[in-house]
Amino acid sequence: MDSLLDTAPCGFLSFSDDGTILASNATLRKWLGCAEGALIGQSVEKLLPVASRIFYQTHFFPLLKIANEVEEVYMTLRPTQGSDLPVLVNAVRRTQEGVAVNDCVFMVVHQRSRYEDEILQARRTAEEARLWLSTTLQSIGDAVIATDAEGKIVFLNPVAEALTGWRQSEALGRPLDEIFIIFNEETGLSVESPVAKVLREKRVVGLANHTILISRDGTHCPIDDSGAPIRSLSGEILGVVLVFRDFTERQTAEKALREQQVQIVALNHHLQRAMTETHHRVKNNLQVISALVDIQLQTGGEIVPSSELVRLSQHIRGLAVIHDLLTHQTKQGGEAERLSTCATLDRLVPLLDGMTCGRPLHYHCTDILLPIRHVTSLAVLANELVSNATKHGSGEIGMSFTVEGNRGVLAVVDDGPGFPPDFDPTTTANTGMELVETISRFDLRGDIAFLNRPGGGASVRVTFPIETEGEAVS
Amino acid sequence: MAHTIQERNNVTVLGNGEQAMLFAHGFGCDQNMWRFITPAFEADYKIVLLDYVGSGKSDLTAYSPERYSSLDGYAQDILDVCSELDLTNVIFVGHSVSGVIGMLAAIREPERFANLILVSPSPRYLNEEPDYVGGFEKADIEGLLTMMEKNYMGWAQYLAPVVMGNPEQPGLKQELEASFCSTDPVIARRFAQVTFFGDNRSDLPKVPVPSLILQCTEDLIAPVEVGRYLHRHLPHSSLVMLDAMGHCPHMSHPEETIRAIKAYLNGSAPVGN
Repeated sequence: MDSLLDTAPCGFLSFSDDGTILASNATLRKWLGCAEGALIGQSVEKLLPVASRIFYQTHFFPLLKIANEVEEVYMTLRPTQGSDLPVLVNAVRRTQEGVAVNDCVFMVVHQRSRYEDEILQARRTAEEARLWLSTTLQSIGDAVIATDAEGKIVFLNPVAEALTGWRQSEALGRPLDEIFIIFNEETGLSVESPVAKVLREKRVVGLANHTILISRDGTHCPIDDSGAPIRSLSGEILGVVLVFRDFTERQTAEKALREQQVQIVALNHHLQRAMTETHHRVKNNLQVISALVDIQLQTGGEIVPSSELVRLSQHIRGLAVIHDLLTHQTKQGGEAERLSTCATLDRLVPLLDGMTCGRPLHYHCTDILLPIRHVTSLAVLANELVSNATKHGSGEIGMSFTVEGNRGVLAVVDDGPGFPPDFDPTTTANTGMELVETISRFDLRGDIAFLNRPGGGASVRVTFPIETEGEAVS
Repeated sequence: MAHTIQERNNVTVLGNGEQAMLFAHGFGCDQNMWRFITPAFEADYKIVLLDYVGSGKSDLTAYSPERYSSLDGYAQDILDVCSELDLTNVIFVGHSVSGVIGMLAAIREPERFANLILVSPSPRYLNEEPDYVGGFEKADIEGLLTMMEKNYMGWAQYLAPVVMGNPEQPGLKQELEASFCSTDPVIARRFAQVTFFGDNRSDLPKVPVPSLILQCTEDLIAPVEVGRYLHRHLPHSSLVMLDAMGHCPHMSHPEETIRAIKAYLNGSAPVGN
């Protein structure tokens, strides 16, 4: 061994391909704490801790054999005493008398090894921080895009991928404007990239309302977003982070809310009308009743016969029938402003039956919906006419409600003597005809005809225009 | 992205024979480790070499942590290459962990394989109380991982693009080629974990094809006890003790290794003893 090499400030070792140590220098032996004789002929693996042996077998020797040299390989040596020595190894292969020899030089790297440990630790910490950050960004519900200081994409989270239609791998390095295409919903004009704005103004910016993002496949999506600069420790702008979210859901919710409000206003209006209508009906009924009472007072003098009171009560029951039907109908959520003619007369006829003194009452009805006011009038008229037919006529009584064109016809007939030739309902006292006249002409705006039937008997026909739905109800 | 399995696994096909010998490298290296062995077989066999995805000049972008989280993913690489090249009656030659990878491939598609030649194999590298001697304690493997990490320190700048899945990094491949057997550090670390923490002892009885175990004397990574254990549990296996020391007889003692393989293939090696 060359004496210079023997004491050089580095370890030296030669070994054969099967790992047998052929030579070593004094410096290496000093480090390892062993005598020259103790190394020659030994396996090189004996100098290595287990991890280094694996590394030697799986990396160091294969590489050396293939490349004929290796440089700066980090390994550890195990001295006979004390702790392991971190070393850097350079090695070359040469042939000596036809046999391959591997020469290695070792440098102890305590200091460097400590730095490296620190760097590895710092790298692990940074990697963990990156994992925290990336997992967080992958998991949040908002879309996140980060760009470098030139506005080129460096990151897209999955939500941003979904909204833009770009995979992160495809988008990386592209300018934001290629991926994030936005325009104003109201003006139709393209909107300045928030990243450009952040880079220019160097502050956090929000996006105007009504921004639409056009994804790669052309889908439009309303978004709201904001951009913020990412600064280095020294305050330089490193890039921009853009956070946005799909606004569709919120827009839908807002629309539903607006529609609900409109519905509530309409319902409220409806309720007000119904209240007004109810007051109106109560007032009308009271008017009808007071009119009936007035008529009795005018015609009956000081003493009102009990039969008239029965008639009066009959009318009031008739009105009650109508309001009973109305209550029922309203409870069932049906129409509360109009009533079926048949439903009304069906309920009324049993009451009328009770006052015909046993004379049969035939009736038929065409069913139609009429305003409450008209149905009320019809009920009073039916009451009054049947009552008259009972009083003045004889034989069977017939009642019908039919529709002729756009007019309703209420007819009551009897088999009695009929009207006298000079019959004038306005002057004929005590027939109740004033009430009939008033209701027919003024309440129903119709006509009334008093006729004698060809085969005998009286016939009263009230015809009135049918108010269809939508026409004004006073 | 590679377009074919050949590109993905950097498949090399050499030789003049009909029957295929498929050489699979072990942990830490690539197909280059076979260069001292294959010339001896080129005249009589079709030589197929590959790099596992993540090793050598394979396509790193094809690496998926899920697929390669167990040796099954690596066995799939072998089967993919066999399928792509339409290989049957294959003599599989695998070093170290590739021995197990070859067994897994043969269990899954027995019809493709004629023999398995297992160079320094081990089904379980860790010692298992009370009576299995794998050779290592967990702390030894942790030490290895740290040592690998320190040797890969200069590569940190390449770590990000691979993790980010961006292959279009100019210079990446050249730099890696100049380094340890062209292995990406993150992938190498995972491969080390899959290799050294795995336990495939229960697969041994299922191996359906005959095998040759080449056992070195004084192999620290796959000790003689492991070779004997394999021989006991592998059906139709032959155990040949080499004079070679260490873990890489195909590199340190190629002539002896070649002789042993040829003897086995010519039927002169001890069978089933």
